[in-house]
Amino acid sequence: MNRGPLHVLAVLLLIVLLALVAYPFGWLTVGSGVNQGTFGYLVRSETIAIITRTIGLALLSGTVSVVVGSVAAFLVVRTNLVWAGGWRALMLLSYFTPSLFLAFAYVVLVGSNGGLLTRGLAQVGWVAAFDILSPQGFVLLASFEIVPIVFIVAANSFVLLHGELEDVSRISGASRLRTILRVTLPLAFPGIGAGALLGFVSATSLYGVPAVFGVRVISVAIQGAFSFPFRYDRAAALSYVLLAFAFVAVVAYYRALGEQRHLALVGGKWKPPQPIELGRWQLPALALVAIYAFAGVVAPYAVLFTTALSRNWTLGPSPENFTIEHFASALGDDLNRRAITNSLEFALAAGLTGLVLGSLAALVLVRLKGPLPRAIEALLLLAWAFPAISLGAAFLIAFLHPPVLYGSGLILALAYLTKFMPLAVRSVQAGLQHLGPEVEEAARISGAGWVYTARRIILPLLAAPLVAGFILIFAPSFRELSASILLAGPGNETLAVAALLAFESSQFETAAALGAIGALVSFAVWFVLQRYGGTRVISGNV
Amino acid sequence: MTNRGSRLIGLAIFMAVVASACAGGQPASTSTSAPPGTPASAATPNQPVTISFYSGLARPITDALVADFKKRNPQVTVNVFQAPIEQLLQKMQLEIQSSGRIQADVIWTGDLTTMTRLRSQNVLQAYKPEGYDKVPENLRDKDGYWTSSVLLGMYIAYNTKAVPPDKAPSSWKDLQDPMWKDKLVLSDPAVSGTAALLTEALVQLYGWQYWEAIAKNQPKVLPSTVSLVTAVVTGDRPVAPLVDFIAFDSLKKGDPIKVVAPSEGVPFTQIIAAIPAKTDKLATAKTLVDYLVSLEAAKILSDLGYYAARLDADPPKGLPALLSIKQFPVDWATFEKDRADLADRFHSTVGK
Repeated sequence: MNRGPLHVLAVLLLIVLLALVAYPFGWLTVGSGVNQGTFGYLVRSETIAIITRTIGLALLSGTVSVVVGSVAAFLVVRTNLVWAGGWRALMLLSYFTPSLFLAFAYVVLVGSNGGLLTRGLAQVGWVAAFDILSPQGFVLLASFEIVPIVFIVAANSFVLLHGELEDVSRISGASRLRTILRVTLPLAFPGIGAGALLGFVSATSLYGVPAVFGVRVISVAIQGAFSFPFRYDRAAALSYVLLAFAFVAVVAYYRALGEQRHLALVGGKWKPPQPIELGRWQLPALALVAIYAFAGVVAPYAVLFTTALSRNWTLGPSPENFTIEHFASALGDDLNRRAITNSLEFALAAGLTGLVLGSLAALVLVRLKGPLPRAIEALLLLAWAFPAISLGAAFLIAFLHPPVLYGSGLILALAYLTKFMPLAVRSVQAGLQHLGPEVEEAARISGAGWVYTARRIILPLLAAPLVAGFILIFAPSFRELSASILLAGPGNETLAVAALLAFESSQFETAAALGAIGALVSFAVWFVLQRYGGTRVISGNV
Repeated sequence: MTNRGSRLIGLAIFMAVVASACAGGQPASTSTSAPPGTPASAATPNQPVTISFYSGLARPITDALVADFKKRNPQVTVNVFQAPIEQLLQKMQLEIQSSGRIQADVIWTGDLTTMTRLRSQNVLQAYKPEGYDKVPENLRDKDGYWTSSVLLGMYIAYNTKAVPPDKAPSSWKDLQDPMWKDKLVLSDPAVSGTAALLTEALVQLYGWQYWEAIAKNQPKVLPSTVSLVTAVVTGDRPVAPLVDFIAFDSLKKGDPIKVVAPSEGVPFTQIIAAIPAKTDKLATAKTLVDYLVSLEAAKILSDLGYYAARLDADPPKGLPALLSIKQFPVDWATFEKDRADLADRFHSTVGK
């Protein structure tokens, strides 16, 4: 293929990323006053304890999430699992839950002393079976935030697996299990690997769950460094520690991928894979997805909706305590209504722009070699590894200087775009790795132009990773809090900001109603996309 | 395809992307406050004027005060941005770091150490509002750079289902009792100003030994003060220091909690009104600050369960007069000095 246009594209992308990433982070780093004392802080025993705690918890929750997310994706996409579409929707729904509510729901449900379930179990003679405020509880809650990311990326690249190789393996006499282990899994590696990469790096910069648990990990320490006495140098230094983790993860990902790159991909004679018969594994598989769906989605949403529909959430569900007034006040209030529209607008803008930019970046990363794609990769890594509060601070400092964007809605959309686009890049990248350049080359040899090839061949084949890429930007943008509260001004408050204000005013019920509305809106956007976005072109049943 | 053709396509894609990014953000930017440098329009009293107002207090009280102010000053549009105090401070400090000024015309937030610091950064301007003399001397800047408007007290709250009244703590010292092991929840002084005040107040009275003893009870430390009430009300952690308006609000809703005024006293923190330097809406900003310190505002404050910082204002219904509450003596000058290392020391003492 002619690399000319790709090079031009890569240069343009680099310019955009320099403006969106290097420029604001440059301001943050230069202005932070990093000095020798900062490094002294980094090697203090307390700081080292924070760092090791972060690594430990990220490895633990990352591993759990990668296993659960990949297995669930495999079951839902590649097997004849009953009600696959429903499970998939539930997995996605768990990606739409703001972590503030997830943690709130779990304290209400299984808090060690007063949780509803804990007390219920105690009444029937069971001693508290599970303490949510334990390390296991932490890993559980953290995994609920990461599993959906792994799932979305993995599921949408599994769709592209080459069916013929599995058929060949079966015809040659390999057992079903052997086929899965020796053919399907290696083929699925780009998807699983991308999911794992996203999972581990997301786990290092998680903020919501540790904040509610009161666990001092790096992101929590960064939040503290941005408060009095305003140690921006420490915030910047700790952000770079997170960047170092992400760097190690990316290097590991490419190392692992290196061996898989030349396996058969979607070539000229691609046919969709046959669903794998689960047979007697149907029930255990169902149990596995059902347990996750119940714990990660049904239970927290039940609490969220019960709270939103109660006069006073502490009194528990009962007919006298039932009311819809909080939904009415959530929607009747100017600020709340404005916040919902704002979030929808900013998240759609970030999602659509990020999808276009992210897909092009993915194309560059997959098809080009050399310093250009490496620079793009590095900038994406920077944007993604820094926790949202650092990104928010960097944007605030940078865009109060010309070009002054602070105070406008645009700065929020751009911050979301910058922070979450790397997720879409990974999703599309995994898809492209399955596709192989042969497809484009065949089209070009047959006389098709660049645009025609993209429109008629690449886009339809990549529909699933593209829809996934959009959701991966849209959903977290829609519920983002840490950067939003720094960047929002009068008139452009977002949904999460409004929910936090309700929460901080002790209006838990209204906050829950806003959370519920947010999840429903995200879900509706996904549903419409899924229905009319062309995902069916190749997968048929997703 | 020719090289030139492909370049054109590349450029077109780039333009489309930039255009869509702009289109996405634009609708909202029409509703934002005017950018710095917009000509002043506050000189004539009846001309419409828009000011931006940063509030660190909860929504119901901010909304009620702004609505009442607008009724009295119909020509003024108040663009409010609210955030929890700590996030608001983060935001203002970053604004100062970047532009050398606070990007608002009036700020209303806590606490005294913050305002002293902002004054020393030269980002406030002096104005003694009407009613300035009615605010206790130690709660206003002597040159008028800031004036307290609301006082928030710290009490001990406990869950009545988990703690029988005869076992309930009656002093801050009582919380050291081993019976509160795994029962306490505190907010993080790194993030919460009221937590910083409480940490300092008890250090001033008992020294760091106080917190060393508390650490033995393995309290849970949360960043948000409001999360404490959730922990107490669910019984997850049945005992916590709580800010008055949050505790009284929870009581009013019928939650199973009780509030105790500890025998050493109630530490009070302040919500303070001030005008940032370089505002171009000075006249209107002064009107709003006058209002925030006024008796009219004090009436709304007390109706909603808050203590106004004026000695001539009524206390909230059913609550004792301000002067009859035993105040915890806090040396604010020492607090200011201690504050830089307070959170670090707290983390290494209490853990987490």
